[in-house]
Amino acid sequence: MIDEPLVLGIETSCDETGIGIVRGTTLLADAVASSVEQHARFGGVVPEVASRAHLEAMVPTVARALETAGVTLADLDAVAVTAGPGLQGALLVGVAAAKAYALALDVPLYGVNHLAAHVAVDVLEHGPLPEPCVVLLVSGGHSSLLLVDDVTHPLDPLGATVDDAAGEAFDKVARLLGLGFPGGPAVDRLATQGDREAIAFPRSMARDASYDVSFSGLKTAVARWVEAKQAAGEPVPVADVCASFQEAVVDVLTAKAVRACRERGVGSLLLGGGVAANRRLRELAGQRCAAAGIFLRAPRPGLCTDNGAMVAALGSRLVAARVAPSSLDLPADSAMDVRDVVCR
Amino acid sequence: MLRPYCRWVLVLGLDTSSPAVCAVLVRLGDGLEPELLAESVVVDGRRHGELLACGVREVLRGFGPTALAAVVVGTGPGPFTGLRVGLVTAAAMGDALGIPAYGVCSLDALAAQVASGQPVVAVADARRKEVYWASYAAGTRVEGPAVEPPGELAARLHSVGGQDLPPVLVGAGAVLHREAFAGLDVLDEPLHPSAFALVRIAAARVRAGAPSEPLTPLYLRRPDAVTPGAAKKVTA
Ligand SMILES: [Zn+2]
Repeated sequence: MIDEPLVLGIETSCDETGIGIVRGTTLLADAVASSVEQHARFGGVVPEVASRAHLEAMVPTVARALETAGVTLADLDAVAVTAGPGLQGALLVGVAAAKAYALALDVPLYGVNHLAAHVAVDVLEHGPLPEPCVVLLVSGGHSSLLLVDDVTHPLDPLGATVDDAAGEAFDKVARLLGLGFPGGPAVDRLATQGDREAIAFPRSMARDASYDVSFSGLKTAVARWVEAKQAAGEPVPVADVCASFQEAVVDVLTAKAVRACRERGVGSLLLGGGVAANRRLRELAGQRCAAAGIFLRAPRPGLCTDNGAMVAALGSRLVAARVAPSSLDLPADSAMDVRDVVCR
Repeated sequence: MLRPYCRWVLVLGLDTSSPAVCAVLVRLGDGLEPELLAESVVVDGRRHGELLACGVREVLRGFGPTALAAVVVGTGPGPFTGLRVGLVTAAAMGDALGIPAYGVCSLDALAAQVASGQPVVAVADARRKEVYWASYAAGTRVEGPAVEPPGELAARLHSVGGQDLPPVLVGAGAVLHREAFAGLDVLDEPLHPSAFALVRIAAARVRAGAPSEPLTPLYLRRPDAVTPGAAKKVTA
């Protein structure tokens, strides 16, 4: 069992109740219940609303995943759960559920790092990770460049956003343009009809030596530009704004990621996180990696966003690597350090 | 005395509606009083998620989870984050073991812990200078559960008079706001709902093999969330 463990993964760090079931590196089920519609009118995720939805969705979503996978709870070899980082109250629902399942079924419990899970998910689609690899993780909650030697070992953070996460910038620009929440898919869709060179939005920190990124200045620049148009009584070319804003984001992200690969002598780049579902990010990363001779891997969009399969995938790797499980007093850690793959 | 034909089952009880993180193992036998076999109570209002599963493991020591026939959990009202830990634990254990899970209002348990001929008002701390409460006469809930400032509850209790006996107040909410309840009878203890009392209340359902229930928390408050106005201008 230890090389091909059957693992249940539970993810509740934000607004998706994700339940995944993995055997070894084979994805058997990936059930997601999202509360995103309940947050739309608030323009962002409301933690208490998310937590309530996780409690309601937990057991039904587990049942749905088991049915899809064609297995029973009694077949499980381990339970893995996102212990952090994320929304504290939301994490706590998943962690408490995972403990109850592990305790009742008498199987090991793994409280894992959400970011490491985003990395591990690609094994389900493309097999063992190229190790080492540089990972660009971009979502509404995080924007990080990581160096990964082995996903069951501490990840090495190279850089991160100094202010807004990339997905947050998408949400804020979408709101400015009246496109609703979440903003990423709407901006991505409209950008295909716009000119990405129409407006020269700034590329913050593009030229500095660090691997950090910043999106707060870009968001403000977009707001100023749109307000100036409105003040002049001119129509706002929404598609051009979307395309030009999106280009500024993905230009900086892919440039830094490719530079990290070159400077660290790493031949592979892996994308992950909800923003990695963005079509222009995938396209530009593809072009730049091809030009630099870097091997690019990106899970399909459905596995980039938060889900339980990624947690199960990491749990499965940890069991196979014979990493010691977490204890039953495992806390939910909203600020869990990326260097901790498993929470004790 | 031996009762050779007596059937009994083991029931897990949980309550996380108060700072007392509580797990109990109870034996329910036909025609017998419920028997408390093991109890774990740790008072720490900020660590329900860390403490509860360990408490469950502790009370199950020597039996194991597969010996359980049912789970009973307090549905609050209580601070949301801790309350959910108990509910999701009960729901997941019920699911994993294929046994029914039952919910009981935690204030019902608190009131049942008082031996009194008088009416009882169970009062829990709702934070934000408010209390959760429910009132009981002859062991039956007659009002609540509700949430309001202690002063308003006190005024309500003072205004009912006449032929009724004066009520006794029980629970941490009453003790914490003792001044607001001046002139009313406030018990020093118990402070918190006991999971044993929860199981006693659900005993008939357990014995009857009633179907599992959806475990719905008694939040009594809407989530804190504001709908945003128009996007703020960065210029001007
Ligand atoms: Zn994520």
